[in-house]
Amino acid sequence: MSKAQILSAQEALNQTQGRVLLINPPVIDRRYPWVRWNQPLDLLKLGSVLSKTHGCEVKLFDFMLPTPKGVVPRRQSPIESNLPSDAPTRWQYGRSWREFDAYLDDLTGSKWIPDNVWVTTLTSFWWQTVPLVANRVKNKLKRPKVVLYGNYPVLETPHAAQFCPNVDIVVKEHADLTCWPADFSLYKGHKPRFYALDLCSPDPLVRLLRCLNVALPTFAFSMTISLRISTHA
Amino acid sequence: MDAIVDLALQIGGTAPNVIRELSGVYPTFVSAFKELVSNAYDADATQVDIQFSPDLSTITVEDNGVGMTPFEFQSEYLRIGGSLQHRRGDLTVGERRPIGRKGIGFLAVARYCRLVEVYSHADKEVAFCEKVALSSQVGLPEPRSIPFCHGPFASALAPFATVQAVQGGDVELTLPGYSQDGLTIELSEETLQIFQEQTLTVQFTVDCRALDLHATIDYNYLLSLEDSHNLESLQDFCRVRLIPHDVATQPVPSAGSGQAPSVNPEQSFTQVTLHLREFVQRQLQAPQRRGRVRNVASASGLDNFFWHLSRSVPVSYEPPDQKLERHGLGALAVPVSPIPFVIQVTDASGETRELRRPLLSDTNGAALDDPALVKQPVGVESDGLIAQGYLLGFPQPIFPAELRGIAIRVRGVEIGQPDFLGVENDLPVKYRPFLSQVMGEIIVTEGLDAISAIMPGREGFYAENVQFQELRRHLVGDGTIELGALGQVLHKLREKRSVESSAARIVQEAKRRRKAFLDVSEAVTTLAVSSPYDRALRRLFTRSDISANKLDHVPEYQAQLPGTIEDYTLELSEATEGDYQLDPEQNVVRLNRDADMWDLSLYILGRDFDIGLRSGGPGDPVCEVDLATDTIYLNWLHPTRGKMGDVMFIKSALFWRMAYLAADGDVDLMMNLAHHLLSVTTD
Repeated sequence: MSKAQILSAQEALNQTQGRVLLINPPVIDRRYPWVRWNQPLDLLKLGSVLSKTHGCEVKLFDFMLPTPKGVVPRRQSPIESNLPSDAPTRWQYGRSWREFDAYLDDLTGSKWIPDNVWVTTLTSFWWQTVPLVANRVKNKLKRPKVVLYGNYPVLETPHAAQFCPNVDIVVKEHADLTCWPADFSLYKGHKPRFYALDLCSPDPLVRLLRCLNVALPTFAFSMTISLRISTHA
Repeated sequence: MDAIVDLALQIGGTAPNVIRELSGVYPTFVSAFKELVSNAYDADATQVDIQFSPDLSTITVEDNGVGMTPFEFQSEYLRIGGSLQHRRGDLTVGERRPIGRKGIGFLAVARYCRLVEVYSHADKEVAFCEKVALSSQVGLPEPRSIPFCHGPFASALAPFATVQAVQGGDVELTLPGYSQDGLTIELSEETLQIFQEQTLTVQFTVDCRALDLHATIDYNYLLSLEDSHNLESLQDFCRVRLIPHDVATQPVPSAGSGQAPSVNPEQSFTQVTLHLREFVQRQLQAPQRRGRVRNVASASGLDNFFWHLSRSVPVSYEPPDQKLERHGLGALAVPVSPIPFVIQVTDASGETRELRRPLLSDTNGAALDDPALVKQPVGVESDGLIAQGYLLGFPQPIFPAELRGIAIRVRGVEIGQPDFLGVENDLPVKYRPFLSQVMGEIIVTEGLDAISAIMPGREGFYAENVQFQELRRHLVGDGTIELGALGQVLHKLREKRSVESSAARIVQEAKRRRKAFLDVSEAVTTLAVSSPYDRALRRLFTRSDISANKLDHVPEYQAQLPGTIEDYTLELSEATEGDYQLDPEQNVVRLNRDADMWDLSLYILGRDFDIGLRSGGPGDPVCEVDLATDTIYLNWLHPTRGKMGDVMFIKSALFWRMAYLAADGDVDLMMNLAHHLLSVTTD
């Protein structure tokens, strides 16, 4: 079994070049009141960094993109739970795996094979879909290098390295993206109206004003919170 | 001539019920209307303008052809089956091959019009030669005054008649042996005595350049006559007015709304104004049907009319000749006439455009570049028949449906509607589904004469005509065994469909196999994330001490594609768009070697496995996982594969083997894990 490298964000960025696919994975939870908040702000900013400073060609697949009616669909979760059988049902929220498979097939059909895939999670307890995303990417896209970024690998670095064996790089700290605007052009004209949690901002007010400046009408609110894994075995 | 002269014409030789029968020769208004355009073509017109009134109650057809003299109007236009005198042999003066030979003239539109107004001016002099027996003049009050011209126009045309020569027997008379007084010759006393009891030959001309013809035909009246009515005594169905040419450019009061033609008054012209019956007006006013309109029959009444008219008159194709040649349809780039012939139509909204023959709809037009298009050139040259064109087989049914079938154009005009020359119901059943994908355009440049080969109204061909039989044999054979050019197109279409479905089946099977392998990877990953078996599974995929001990020595299974499908060779190719491509020119099906479906590797929990298919026997294991070399072996010739099918065989074999290895001797764990793996939904 391959062993994931644990790198800083800058080290991971330095290893990234060529075509990059950014993925905001689906969420498995009991409920999902985050429809207007789970914007992959970190990925959108990374998109700016990668395209502007590393000359990368960047695409985005956002599982949590709401439908035009503002709804994020839910379906039965493929992941079994170790919770007691009378615990509330957990659902998988977001676009379907079938949709994701079709997207990956389209990429291969159009000969756009990414060299790197960056996957993120907003909270550490939404980690369970990361290995599933990475597995599909590895099988369908000729084994690109998968980088795990976001709060989960930062807060739970050893867990991420152990439970995500199909990830090549685990990023242990956030990149300094404070000065980078979110690249909304990655949504290809389907830019949703929603908000984002900027969980790594040290200066909420400055961050808010800066985001208001660069990304109206999308707002980023800073929250210095630490969400811990609560459901892994 | 200072006054306008009104004349009434009569019709003879037919009965009212025959007239009613003949007026039904044209089953649709447009098929009758096309006769007016054919008349203009035969009259060497270079331009025809068709104009609708805003309420679609009248249509005016105006052409700059040779026009009609009053004599031609009477003897040809009003005569059933008339022919034009200005033809020179088989060609018109403008060297066109005439379209009409046995039209029913003015009766063509009788069923569809209340009234027709005809304006015409012929810029020519007409010569006549009359013989007068002098013995018959005895009873006249003045025996030396000999009238030489009779008929309804005689008195009106008197000022324009000029005697050119007079012969008595073989002797040509000279002045002052005779003198002309209108349409009468005054013989001198001496001349009368010399040629008494002989025949006098008078050659004279009538100068029609100073005249315009305005005629009004009342169809309502004509078609309502009793069967017993004597048409010889019919005096008032057609009113003709001979008008001095210099007043013709002014509007003339008439029964209808006729206006003077706008063409150059110095030139010949004909203008026909149809006053439509109400049912025709309603047809033209019909709106387009709701919903998705793909057939012409569902289009608006006016669009329907223009479409059918464009198919039945001698106009060029909508695609310009260069475009036809670029698509390899150069044989259709045949000029319809040695001199130009352009039809301009102005619809009820006043919008004017040139009428051209549609060859294909936009959808089918795009398919002209499709390699899947079957193009069958047709060339016939035998016994005075020369025809050329194409049969086209499209990958999809043709829309509008009115384009389906073989259209045969003679003198630039389509004969009847496109069809398959009567073999539709005789064809072998295997070919019938493909008829909706076939159309043809055949241009006959020689042969299929209008008299002997083409039915009245150009509604079809006479089956017994030898040239038509030859053309039919070439196009569709006998419709059962020999199928001619049509058979070749149908055979190619059927073969392509069969090859495509076989290729698609091979691809689908490969995709299902690949999906089964990916499902195994997804299921293992899913249960390894969070389940009662996650630790066992993760532990298994960290091991490297498990080796295959049987299948690794069994010969490799050589996956073979069927060598051929029908006449096509099957091959794996690198530069292929999509999953597969058909190359009809080289008869090859190329499967995309790079497509994911052919991938024989699998990524599971951070390990990259090769999949080895082996040709084992029934006694060999179904599956082995070699964690030392990262290889998964499958006994591809195991009998259970035939019973379970590829997908279930792959999943069952791998899941049970992995469960066995992960359980490490714990039978309950193995059973539960295998069942859970089989029940994971990965979509």
